Amino acid sequence: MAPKCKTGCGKNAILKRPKTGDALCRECFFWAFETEVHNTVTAARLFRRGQYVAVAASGGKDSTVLAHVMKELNQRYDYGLRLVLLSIDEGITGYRDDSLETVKRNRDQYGIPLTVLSYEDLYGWTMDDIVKQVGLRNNCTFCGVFRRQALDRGAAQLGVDQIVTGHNADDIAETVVMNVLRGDIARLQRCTAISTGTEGSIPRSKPFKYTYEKEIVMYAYFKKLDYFSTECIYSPNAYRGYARAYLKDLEAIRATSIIDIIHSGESLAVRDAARLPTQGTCSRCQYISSQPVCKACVLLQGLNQGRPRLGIGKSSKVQERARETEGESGDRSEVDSATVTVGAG
Amino acid sequence: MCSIEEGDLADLRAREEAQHLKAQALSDTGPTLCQKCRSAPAVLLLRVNDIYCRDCFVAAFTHKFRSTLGKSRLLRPDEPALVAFSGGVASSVLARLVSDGASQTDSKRLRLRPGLLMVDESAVVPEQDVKEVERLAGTYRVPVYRAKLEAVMGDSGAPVVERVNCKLKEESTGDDGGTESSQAPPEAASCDSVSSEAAVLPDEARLAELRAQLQQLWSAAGSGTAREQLLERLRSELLARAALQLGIRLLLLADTETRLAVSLLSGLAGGRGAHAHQQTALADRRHGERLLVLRPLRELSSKQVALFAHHCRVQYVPGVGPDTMAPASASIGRATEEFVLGLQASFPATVSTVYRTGTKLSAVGAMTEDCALCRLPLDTSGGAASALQATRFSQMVSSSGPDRFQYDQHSADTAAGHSRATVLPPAAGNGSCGTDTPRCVESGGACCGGGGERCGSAQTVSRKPSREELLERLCYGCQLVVKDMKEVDNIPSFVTEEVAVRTRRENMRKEIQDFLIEDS
Amino acid sequence: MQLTVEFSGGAELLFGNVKQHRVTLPDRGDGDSVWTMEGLLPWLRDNLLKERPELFMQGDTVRPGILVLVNDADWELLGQLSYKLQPDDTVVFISTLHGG
Repeated sequence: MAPKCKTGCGKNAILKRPKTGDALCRECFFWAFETEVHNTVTAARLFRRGQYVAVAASGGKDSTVLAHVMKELNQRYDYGLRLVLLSIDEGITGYRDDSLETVKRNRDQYGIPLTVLSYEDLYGWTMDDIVKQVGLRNNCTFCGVFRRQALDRGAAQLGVDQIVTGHNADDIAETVVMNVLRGDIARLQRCTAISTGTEGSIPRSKPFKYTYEKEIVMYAYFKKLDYFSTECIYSPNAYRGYARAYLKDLEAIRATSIIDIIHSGESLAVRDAARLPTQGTCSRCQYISSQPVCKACVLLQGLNQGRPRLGIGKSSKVQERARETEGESGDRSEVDSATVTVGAG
Repeated sequence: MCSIEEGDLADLRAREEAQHLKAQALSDTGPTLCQKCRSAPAVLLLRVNDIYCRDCFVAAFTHKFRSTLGKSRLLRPDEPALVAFSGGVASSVLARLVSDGASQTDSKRLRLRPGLLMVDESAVVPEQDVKEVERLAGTYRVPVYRAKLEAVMGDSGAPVVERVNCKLKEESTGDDGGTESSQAPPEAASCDSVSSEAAVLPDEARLAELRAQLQQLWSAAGSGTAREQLLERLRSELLARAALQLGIRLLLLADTETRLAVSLLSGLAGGRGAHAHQQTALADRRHGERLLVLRPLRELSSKQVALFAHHCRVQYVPGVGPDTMAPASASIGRATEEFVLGLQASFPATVSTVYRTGTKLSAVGAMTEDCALCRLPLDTSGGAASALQATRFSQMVSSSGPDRFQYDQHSADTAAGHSRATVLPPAAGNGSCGTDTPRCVESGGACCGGGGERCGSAQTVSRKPSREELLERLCYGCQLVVKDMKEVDNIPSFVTEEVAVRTRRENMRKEIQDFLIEDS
Repeated sequence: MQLTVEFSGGAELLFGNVKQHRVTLPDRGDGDSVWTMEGLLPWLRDNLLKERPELFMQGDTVRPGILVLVNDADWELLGQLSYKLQPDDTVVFISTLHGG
């Protein structure tokens, strides 16, 4: 016999909340889920009335639920926001073309306009082309760097005030662990910020920062939301996979581990903050960068010169190589082999 | 959305590169010669391409220990130092390094007067072979002290430590003037007699009482993780108290780089990000100026320590604890150890990277109050948008439901960060006896009406704090430990005393609030 | 072929709490008497180990956190699993795991 809903509404509970262990009925869960996201939005003062906000939409569960909830909350609490869906087409046949169909259905269902920007238009390369050139080993580096810029450029084209992404609590906890494993102090400090917006770039925020992935899946499941759930065909996911498995083990031991790690990330302090890289702009594309030439431009230079590993490795060495080889044509194989043997430190 | 970041792939390349370097190192010198002296056969491989023979390794190992200790620049010449000694491999190696170093006769002598301090944890770890640990301690020919874990449950002023007399069975003689760590260990020792020079310990009956209280606390702990952390807390509290009572300012812990990497990561998993810095620091100063806790093995891995023990024939007892042979699912600490060592097997830089990440963090400033259990800064002020506030809000939402919940009122409260009272209402004591009502601290849980002899004096009567009052004085990580506990009746006195003092001060402050002139 | 096999650091707990074992490896059926570490590990697991095989081996190698020395030399110097055992080799397994 099913237990009654913890809120005392009288209905039978249908699920146990991963976050608190409370048994709730369907309606009270929807309400709790949405109210918590609203609480995050208000407590962190994410929006101002009249803002134009882009929802980064991939067609996956997080961004689909985010688009749905943003629309809902905007109406219910009268945020006064203008919403737009922003999708990036990386050019991955059999993956992105299918998920973009999902985003288009979301556009129609939620009545939010959609803008799609492709790597091909922005960079002259699709991911399918890039994989042909670089193989499966490094393609995610290209994709990750290009996507970050693509979202910003799309947002700038649209003239939005802000981008919201579907990163959830599990993603953030995982990133905290990854940054510790990598010893990346600068990212470790930044990665738990709910809103990132250094000067000159469009702020990004994460309304699902405190929302468990499991609750997002439950919400989508019970709301019968339409999302696309195939892993990227090019993703090797190797190192991150370990961190993900570790988090699952921790969660099985103590249900609050995800949020406990986020608390850890929020309360740790980095020594000697002066040593963190300062932000400037890329001398080639004017995009925000901590280096003289931004990562995307170096990667692009490598692709166009037929030496795809140019931008891969330690940033100081990458900068050096990029400067040395700027303007060279791409077919000098002796330089290639000399510069390419240096990997990450 | 795909969450792979640009850094992810660098990790894989680092791994390939490490394997490449290793293969290169092996083929260059062959597997036989030490890279350092290039004459003796190599016996071990550290990190990616350091190939050492036995003697070069032992020399490098000893040098690393000495330079770490020297780096602290905190040692006073010839002052006494206590090695926290469990008989396990790391503390046995540390005891060997310290006692050998101190007994050297040349200019390289380590200018410390070492002693060993062992903790008898048999109250909660029945597998611990206390006699064997004492016997091993006796082989180092330095003063040996013993403290029983249950003693930490008593008043913070009560003595906890005694000296143990250890006699070597056969005094070894001759050439081993402690020159280097390579000679065979001294013969077995026996430690049957206990001297009476230290302060008088609580009598047997009192110790038995405390032991029972500790065991109740242990069985109430509710989870492997809570036990693991409780044991760690009680042990370090006891070590500190024992050192202070002996008037010794220096306490050396045998935490290795591997151990620290695991505890840093499990600390993060347990909500202790604010304390990540102290967890890996060379000098732990949470006890103030009177006690300096140092970790001189922190730049040596557990592999190096185990190999040093093997090559220098350091005797030790395999570490036994509540987590011995336990599966990875037993606790956060176990899961983290499995995770880190598993990753280390494929990515050889894992341990040192994690450890170094800890050293790049710093103490969180601007926190005025310390946790009553771990004595590290409280990290629970949260703020309007924080994980802490989000968790409290979730609990509130889940139990009120849409009909009884008024968003505007609560959102104002939570945004201002005043939600703690809403979620964890302080229970008011009513002064009468009964379950969950005030108890006498000193009598270890006996009811005030029961006539415990210490209950009469106004100084010592203070009621046990409720779970809520306790939680308010604890850091986030220690709150998680207490939340796992089935009941909090047997929380040790040092914690309840601290909670009582803080509560009294807060009440005093409230009384005089109107007359205080606030700094802006 | 005869070998000395030692366990310490807690690894002995899995082998009946006996630290030193003198073992005789049988000739393999195909007339090939070469034993590698790759063959020794499962043999120890099947013939000497008393409990909890998962705490000794993971996949085809030792569980992470267990050190292996052959005649006092780190097996990583000797090719690990591919090392060909010689008569009277001493193979030492040392657990560095805190949780045994």
